[in-house]
Amino acid sequence: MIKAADGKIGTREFTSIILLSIGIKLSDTTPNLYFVEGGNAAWILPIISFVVIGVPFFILLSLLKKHDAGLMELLSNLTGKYVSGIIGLCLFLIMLNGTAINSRAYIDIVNTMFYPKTPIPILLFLLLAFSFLIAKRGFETIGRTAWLILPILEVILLTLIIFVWKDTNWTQIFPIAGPGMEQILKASVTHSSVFGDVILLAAFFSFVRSYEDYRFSSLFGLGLSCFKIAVFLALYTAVFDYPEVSSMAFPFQQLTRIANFGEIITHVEAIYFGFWMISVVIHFSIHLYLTAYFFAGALRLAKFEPLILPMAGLTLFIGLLPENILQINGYKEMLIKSSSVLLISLPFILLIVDRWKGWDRS
Amino acid sequence: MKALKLVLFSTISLVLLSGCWDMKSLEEQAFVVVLGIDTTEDDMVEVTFQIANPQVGSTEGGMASNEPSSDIVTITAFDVLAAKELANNSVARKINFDQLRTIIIGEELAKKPLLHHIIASSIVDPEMRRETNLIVSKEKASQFIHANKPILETRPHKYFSFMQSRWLDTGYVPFSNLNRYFQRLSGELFLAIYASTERNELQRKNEDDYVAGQVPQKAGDPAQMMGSAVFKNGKMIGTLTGEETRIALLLRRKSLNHSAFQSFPDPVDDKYRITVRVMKKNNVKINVNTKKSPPEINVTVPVTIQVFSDTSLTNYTTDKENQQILKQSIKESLEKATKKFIQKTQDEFKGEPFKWNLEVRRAFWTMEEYDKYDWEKKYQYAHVDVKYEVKLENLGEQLKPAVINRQKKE
Repeated sequence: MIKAADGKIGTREFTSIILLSIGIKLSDTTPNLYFVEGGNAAWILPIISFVVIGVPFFILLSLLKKHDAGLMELLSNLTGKYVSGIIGLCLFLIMLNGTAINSRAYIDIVNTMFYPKTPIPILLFLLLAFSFLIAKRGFETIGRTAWLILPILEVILLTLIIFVWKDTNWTQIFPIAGPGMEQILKASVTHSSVFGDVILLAAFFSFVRSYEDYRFSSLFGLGLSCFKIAVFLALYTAVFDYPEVSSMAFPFQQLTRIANFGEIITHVEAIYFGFWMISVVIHFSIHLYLTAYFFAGALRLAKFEPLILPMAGLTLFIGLLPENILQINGYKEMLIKSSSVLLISLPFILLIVDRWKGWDRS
Repeated sequence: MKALKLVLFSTISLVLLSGCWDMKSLEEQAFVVVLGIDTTEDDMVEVTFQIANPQVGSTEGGMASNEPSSDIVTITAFDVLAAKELANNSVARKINFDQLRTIIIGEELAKKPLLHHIIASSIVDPEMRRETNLIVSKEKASQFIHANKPILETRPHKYFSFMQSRWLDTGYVPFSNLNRYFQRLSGELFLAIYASTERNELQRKNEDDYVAGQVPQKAGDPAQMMGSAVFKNGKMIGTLTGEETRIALLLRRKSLNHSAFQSFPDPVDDKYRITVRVMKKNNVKINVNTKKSPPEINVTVPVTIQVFSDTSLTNYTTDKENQQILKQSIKESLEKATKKFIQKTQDEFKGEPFKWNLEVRRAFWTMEEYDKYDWEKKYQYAHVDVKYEVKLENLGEQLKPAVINRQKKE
C-alpha cells in the first residue's frame, strides 16, 4: 500500500535515522576514546552504556506517552517558558558543538586516509553543503534517504566482518576485564552520551506516526547500535591486538584496508569509503536538522527550517577552529563527558517536575 | 528554466567531482611493488624501490618488449618517507606505495635497534598498508632485489603474490606482515620470512632442516625463502630452520593453513625415510597452569597424516601392525623435535613464538595482573609438555606397494 506523504515517518525510517545517527560512530574517532579508557575490554563499555542510557530513556518514554508531545514541547509544558529556554539552549549548544567537532573529525579521517592534498575547508564545506541539501527538504526526506542507504550499509559492514575474519584472533580480547571492572563502569557512565542522541532525537517524537512506532524503533535502533559498536570494538581488538589498537587513529579505515577478497581483489577500501561517505552525509543532515530544531525551540521561534542554512554555516566555522585531529579528540572527550551528565539527568528532572506538578494539581 | 538549472548543476558537479587536488593520473604514477631497506654505517637507511613497469607482461607488451619488467632505484636518506620523495629526483613518475605488498629488510638492519624506529615511523604514512609482507634477507635487501629474477613471473608483484600462497601451503616460512609485527612487541617472539639469494649449500636428509640459501638447488631463480628470522622486541636475534618454523606454526592454537609434506625416518626399515603430509585440522589444545611456579604448560596437537610416498616399500596399507608402528614413530619423532625446539626457545631466545601469551592472558582478570605476572620471564623456566595425537587418514592410491618379489623367481 502506498501511503501519501504526510510529513510523518514510520518505524523503519526512524530506526534508520537512529542507526545512522548512533551506529555510524563505530567508524569515526569514538573507538579511540573507548580504547583509551577501556583498553582491550573497550567492547564492554557500549553494552554497559546501553543500560546506563536505557534507564533515563525509559523514563522519557513514559513522559512522552503521557503528554503525547516531543522533547521541546514536553520541556516547555513542564518547566515553563524560561527554564525550558535555558535547557533548550544547552541542548542546542551540545548539538552545535557536537556537529561541528564530529564533522571536522570525519573530514580529518577523509583528509588523512583518502584526500591528503585537498584543503580541509573545502572538504568540510562539501560535506556540510550536501548534508544541508538533504536536511533542507525536511524530516521525511531525511528518514526516507536514511532507509534507502541503511540496508546497503549494513550488508557492507557484514561483508567487512567476513573479509577480515581470517585475520581475527578472538583470544586477543582477554584478559576479559581489561583495566579492571571499576574503571570500565566509570568510563561507561562518563561516555554514555555517545548514545545520548537517542534522548535528543526524542525531539522528533511528533514526527513519527505513532507512539508504538516510536518506542519500537528507538529501542531497536539503540540496541542494535550498541551491539554493532561493541562487535566492532571487539573486532578491532581481535585483528590488531591491544595495545597496538589503542595507538591507531582510524581503526575502521585500517580494517577496510586489511579486508581482501582472495588474492586478486585486495584494495576494496574504496567501496567501503563510498557508502560510508553517503551515510556520513545523512548523519550530519540529521544533526543539522536537530541543531536548528533545538535553537528554534529554545527561542520559541515558529519556523525552524530556514535556520538550517545558518546552522550549517556556523558549524563550518566552528569546525575549522581546531588545528588537528588530536585537539578535536580532546574537545570531543570533554563534550561527551559534560553532555553525559546533562542527558542522563534530564529525564529524571522532567520526571520529578511531572510528579510534583501532578501532585500539586491533585 | 529547468534546462538552465540542469546545465548549471552539471557544470558545478563537473568542478566538484573531478577532485582537483588529489587527482592522480595513472600514467604519472610509479607503483613500487617491493621496498628494500638497508642500513648504512652512520645509521641512515638505504631504501631500494622496485618500480613495476606496467607495459611489460600486458597486452601492450609488444611495444615494450625490450624493456625490463621493473626499474630498481636505491636512495640513501634518513627515513623511508624522505627517500620516497628523494627518489623522484631521477624517477619521472610520482612514487606511489598503493601497490606495495612486500618489504625486504637486510639482516644487518634487522639486528639494529634502528629497525623498529624505521618501521614504526613508516606506518604513520597512510599510503603504507598493514598487510604488507615482511621478509628478512640474509644479504643486503638491495642485493636481494637485484638478484631475484624469476623467469616464470616477469612481473615482480605477481611473483610475490603467488609466493604468498606458497608460504601458506608449505609452512617452511611463517606468514609475516606489518600487522603481525606490531602485535608482538612485548617480549613475545615475532617470526619473519627469511630469504636469501646467496648460496651456502648443504645436503641434509631431513628436507626441511635448512635456512634460506642452504637448500641444494641447481639452476632456477636464485632467491630462496626458507625458515624464519626471529625478532624480539623489534630486533632480530636469530634464525629458525624450515623444520623449526613448521613446529612453531604447528604449536599455535589456530593456524592459517597447515598442511605440509614432511619426511620421517622409516620405523620398519631405517635405511629409508617416509614422506607424509602432516595436517592440522583442529585447533591445538593449550593449557597453561599459572598457579604453579614454574608454570606448567600442557599442549595437545592433533595431527592427521596422509602417506603418499613410501620409499622403503614397506607394507603399511594392509598391515595394521605396521600402521601402529608408523603412527607411534611419527608421534615420537615429532615430540622429540618439538622438545628440542622448545628448549632452544627457552635457553637461546628466552621467549616463545607460539602465541601462548594469549592463552596466559585468558587466565587473568585484568591487564595489570597479566603484566605483573611477567610471562616472558616465567616462560623461560616453564615445564612444557607437548603431546601429538596422530591420526592416519589416507594411505594413497595403492593397495600394496609394488615390491619386486625375488624369492619366487629364485
